[in-house]
Amino acid sequence: MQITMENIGGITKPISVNLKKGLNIIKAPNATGKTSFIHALQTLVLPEKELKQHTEFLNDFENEGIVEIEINGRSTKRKLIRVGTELGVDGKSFYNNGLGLKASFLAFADPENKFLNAILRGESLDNFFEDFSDIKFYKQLEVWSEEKDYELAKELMAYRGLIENLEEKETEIKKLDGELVKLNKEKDKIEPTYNDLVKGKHDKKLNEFNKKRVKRDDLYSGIIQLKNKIQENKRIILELKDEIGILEKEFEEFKNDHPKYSTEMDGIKDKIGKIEKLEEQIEKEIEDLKNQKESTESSGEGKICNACGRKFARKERKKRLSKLNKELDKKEKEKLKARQKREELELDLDQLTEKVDKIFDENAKEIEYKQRKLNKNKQELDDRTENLEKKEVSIKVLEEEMKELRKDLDKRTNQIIEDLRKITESIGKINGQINYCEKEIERMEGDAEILKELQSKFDFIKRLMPYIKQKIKDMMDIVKNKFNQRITEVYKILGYKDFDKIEIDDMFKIQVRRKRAGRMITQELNRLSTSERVTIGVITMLAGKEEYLSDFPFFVLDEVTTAYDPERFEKIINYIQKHTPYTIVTTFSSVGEKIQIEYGK
Amino acid sequence: MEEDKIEQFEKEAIKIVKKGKLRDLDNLLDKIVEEEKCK
Repeated sequence: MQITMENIGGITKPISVNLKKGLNIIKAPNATGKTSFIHALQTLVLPEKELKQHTEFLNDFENEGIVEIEINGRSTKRKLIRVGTELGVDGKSFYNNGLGLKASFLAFADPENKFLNAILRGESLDNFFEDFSDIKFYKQLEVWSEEKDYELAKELMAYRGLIENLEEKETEIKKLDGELVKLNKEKDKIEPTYNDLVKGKHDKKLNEFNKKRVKRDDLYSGIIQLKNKIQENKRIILELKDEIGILEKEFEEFKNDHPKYSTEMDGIKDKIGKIEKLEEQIEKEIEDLKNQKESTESSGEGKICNACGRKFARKERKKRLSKLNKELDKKEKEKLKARQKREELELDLDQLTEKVDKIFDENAKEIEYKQRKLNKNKQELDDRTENLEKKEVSIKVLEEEMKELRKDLDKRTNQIIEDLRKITESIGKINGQINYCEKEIERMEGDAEILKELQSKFDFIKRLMPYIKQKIKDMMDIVKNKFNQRITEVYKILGYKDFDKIEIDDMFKIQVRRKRAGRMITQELNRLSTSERVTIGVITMLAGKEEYLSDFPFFVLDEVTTAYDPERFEKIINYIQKHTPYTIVTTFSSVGEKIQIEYGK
Repeated sequence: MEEDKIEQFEKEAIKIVKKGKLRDLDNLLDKIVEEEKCK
């Protein structure tokens, strides 16, 4: 396996390191590139998202770093590119990209390893376990189902409120139907007598009265219909007012509860601002370089350079021009990269602004639509109320005229007319009430259908939630048990006798069991010595690597981990060599100034 | 039968979550509940 690197950490000149199968010991004094070598390996392994966070991997004074690996006849190159204050990545991880993060936790025993550090501090490993299987996706599903449960419960409550009078209305309508049957029977008794009177007597006054009565009855049924429509208008107006109120409140909440959008937008604007400043700076540097170039070109041999104050010699002038050209090229490239990054960010900002505007726009449009509907209903209400008033006046006039006509009719006829009037009026009223009740029931039945749908979804989510919870628990237990099984295996193979058992407990913390004064005691890891903890940490990593990354080609032990208890680490290194093609150990050396590699010792 | 639907939902939902399209879970819920109702 060959690793070539340039401009990674402290390494500026291209270095090529040959690693042989078995043990590779990287020896060097401090600050000569051991950590940079580890960073180069991580550059090859980490997924792009994580790698971008490691700006320290690229040399502080360079804009581009390269790492290349040749393994099993396959070559993979990855570039780190400085883009303003951020790090860009070109090329893919040499290992399965989806497993890169796992590999950084399980195959790099170095002081920056977060998994190892969590073990050393005796912390719970649950967050890391989520990365060892699909648990993190199940966690997202769990959050979604909890939010859905809350949302559906709220909607259900609202719909239950809307249909809570359904039974009451159904009873009312039955009662009204009963009354109507009774009244119609009474009417059927009186009406033939009245009709006989109208037909038989040929009374002019009674005929005139009857015409007005028919007209009045028509007006009266019109009034009943109008009153129902007015009632409906009033109900819609109240509903719309509520809906508009809720929308306005939600809109307000969106503005208050979502500062993340403005923070995100501010963050992008800030980055754009910084890049603009960088572009200005590069522009100035380009201008300066052009001036220097112009000055060098226009200066004759033997003259003094305006920029550096030295005399020009032909050779020196050529050399200087070539250097200036190279620097100019470099700056032009930097300018281009900065511009591209700025344009990318401007596009992100535009998309985000559009998204926020859309939410604002959609909400505003819905409020406007409901407001229009509200105004239409208010107008209808006014028109119908006016119409009703007119009809009521007409009825009053007609009834006055009918009253006058009745004065000339005999007592019996008057009594029949009066009885019939009362019954007709009552029938009209009851019909109106039935009509209104029917409409209410129709609306409530529609809402009941929606409620049924919501209830089905709610019931499903209620069944889903414990299922997902249990699934997460089971998956966590599987990961934990796999680790425990492997830890015990690795520990036994290494032949340590310090502890009777090492295991991850239900809180996902590592515990050890050991004998003290003839008694078996359980200890948390933070009660042990650093050397013991480092040993257990590396054993846990090896157990995880065996389980999840058995084909990953190397395991790295940095000097900090190997500095403790050489006897233990010799055993560990021998174990790794048997299970991993390349074992890479970095160690301090007081001899020489450069990195040296020793094989198989 | 009920558990089948939960498992079907789980299987399809995890695919959606892996793609990062959490909004599509609402449509999946509608679909599964509708299918369950028809059975």
